[in-house]
Amino acid sequence: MAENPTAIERKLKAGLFLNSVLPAFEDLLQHNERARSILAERQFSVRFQTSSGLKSTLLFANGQCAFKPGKTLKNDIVLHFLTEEQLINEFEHSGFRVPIPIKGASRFKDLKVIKALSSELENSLRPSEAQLADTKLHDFHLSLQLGIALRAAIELSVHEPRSRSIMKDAPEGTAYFSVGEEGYGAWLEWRKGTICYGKGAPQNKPDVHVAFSNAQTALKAIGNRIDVMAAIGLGDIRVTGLIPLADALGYIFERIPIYLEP
Amino acid sequence: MSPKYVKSMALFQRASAVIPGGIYGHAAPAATVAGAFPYFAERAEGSRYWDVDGNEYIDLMCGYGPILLGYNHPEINAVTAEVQAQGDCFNHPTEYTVQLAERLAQQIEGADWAVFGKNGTDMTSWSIRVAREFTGKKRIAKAKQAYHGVDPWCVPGYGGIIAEDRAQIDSFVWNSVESLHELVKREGENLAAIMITPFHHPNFADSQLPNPDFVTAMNELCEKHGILLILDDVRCGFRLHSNGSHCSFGFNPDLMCYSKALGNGYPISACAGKRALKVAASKCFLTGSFWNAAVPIAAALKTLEIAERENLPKQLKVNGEQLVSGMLALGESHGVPLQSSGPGAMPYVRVAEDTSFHKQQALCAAAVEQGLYLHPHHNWFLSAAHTTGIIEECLQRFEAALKNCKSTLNL
Repeated sequence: MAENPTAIERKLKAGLFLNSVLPAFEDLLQHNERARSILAERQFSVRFQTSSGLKSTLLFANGQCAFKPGKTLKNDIVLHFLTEEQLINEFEHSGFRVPIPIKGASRFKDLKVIKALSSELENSLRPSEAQLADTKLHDFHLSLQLGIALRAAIELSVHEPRSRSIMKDAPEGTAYFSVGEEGYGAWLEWRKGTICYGKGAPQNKPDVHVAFSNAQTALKAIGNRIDVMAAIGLGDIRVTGLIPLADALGYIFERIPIYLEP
Repeated sequence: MSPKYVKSMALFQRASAVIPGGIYGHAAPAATVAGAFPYFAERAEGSRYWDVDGNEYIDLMCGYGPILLGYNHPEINAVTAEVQAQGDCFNHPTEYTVQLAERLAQQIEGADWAVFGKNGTDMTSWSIRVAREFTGKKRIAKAKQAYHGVDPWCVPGYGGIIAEDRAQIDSFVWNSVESLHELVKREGENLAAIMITPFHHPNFADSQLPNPDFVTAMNELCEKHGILLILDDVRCGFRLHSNGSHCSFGFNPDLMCYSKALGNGYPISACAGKRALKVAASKCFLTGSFWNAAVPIAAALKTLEIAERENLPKQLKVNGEQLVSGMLALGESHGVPLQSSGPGAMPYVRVAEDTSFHKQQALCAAAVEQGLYLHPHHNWFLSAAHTTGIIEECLQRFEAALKNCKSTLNL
């Protein structure tokens, strides 16, 4: 029997949190000193999973974090959500959201570290205006948001019917997104029906380059809060090369706020 | 933004405050190379136009097709001024409407009647209604990447489109007889019509003329399965063949849609059809407040008269081929391999093996800088005003562009 739209949307949203938002812990540990001090010397792994079979793992070690889609063989902590809705609630801090620690329930210190790192990530994703005045924090906030957006585009292009059909008609190639002269950069590569993602500039010359003049423009564009066509005309966004690939990805970015609050 | 475009940018800033996108549709800055092309035009004459900053260009886009005889054509101006003096928009059509229908029924191969609108989409969308009315079938097929207008069933992009808009639309691969057979095998019993362009001219790709076996298969399958063949001749009409572009390639369409070149820049579109479809056509309500306006219809009558007098398709073909061969030779002599596609009257030349179009964009931006308006991703258009002398001038400007961006092109 076909799933009803609500169930599909729920699954998508849960998938987005697991595969687009959770990897942001990698960036957090890499760039945020306070996060590294919270983790300190602790080493552990934690799996987030739902009864419906969605799962992702974070490995914490040596002051860093590594994201692993799906499950790794042995995890120290397994946080099980009976429903996708509960997992969504956990990320959105709303409704009933208590996961069952089916493994590692006694690792109180590690569970506390996860909670503290989550708060740190939350702060970095939603800083106050005053915090954003700090250039370093602003750039970090941007890199987190763009990273989540690019990973979300991958997730949608695989699992959301509308995005899948958009990418089916898109030309193959590598799209490079950059901010400012020497700011954040990341790329998406669409080839043979799959998309992959990387940070920095791609190894080979990209097929299309989307250059945001500054972080504000980039954040507004990925949050669907800007007239992108006008921004291109004004020179705030520069698109060169295989424009249809950027168009297709742009349509998908526009769909992210349907599921994830910017 | 180039310092050449100060007024263009100032206007665009104003526009972007009050118009979604600033400039929308095919003229949007994002469709070419934003900042390297002008945004707003001011006046035009013959083969040239001037932007709001006073920069002059030889125009190889012809307003994206409508300018067939040249901008600001004196004979068209004279007739439209004369008709305008009598009034344009009335409660009724004028005699010009009847004259134009008679002219198209006589001139277009296979046509026995005609109706009129303003834009190509008016006609392509109406023609599928006629096909459905006539056949009693629902589905419509079109070639992948083909452009047929801005109604929900066919508009490029995704904004405001729901799945149901495309639920009755199928697609096939241009020039693939196999794809056509698969389509007919799968949906033949339900297909009201197949819509084609005379040749395939997608953006961001080379144009493709139809292979003879594809034309034969198209004609035979449509006839065998009672599928109407609709020719979207909006972009090509009256540039390739006076009797309709299907005469250039051998298609046997039942309905033919025209616009662009028909009125040499005046807003008019037409659909012509075979006698057998006239009753069905009469049942498909068609109207618009301005669709009977006399001036554009009179402009169309005059345009067709001049095009016939000047044997225009032949002239465009010869001059277009002179342009293309000249460009290819220049590319070779400067070590920049170029490739061409499409018919002479609507050529498209681009940097060879430049799959990302980075080099093509650099070349066209350099050409625009030299006063030669070339689109990097869309086929070009010639008009009667592109005489041999103008083509020579185009080639001089093109060579200057090649020299100026050679380092970029050899990246």
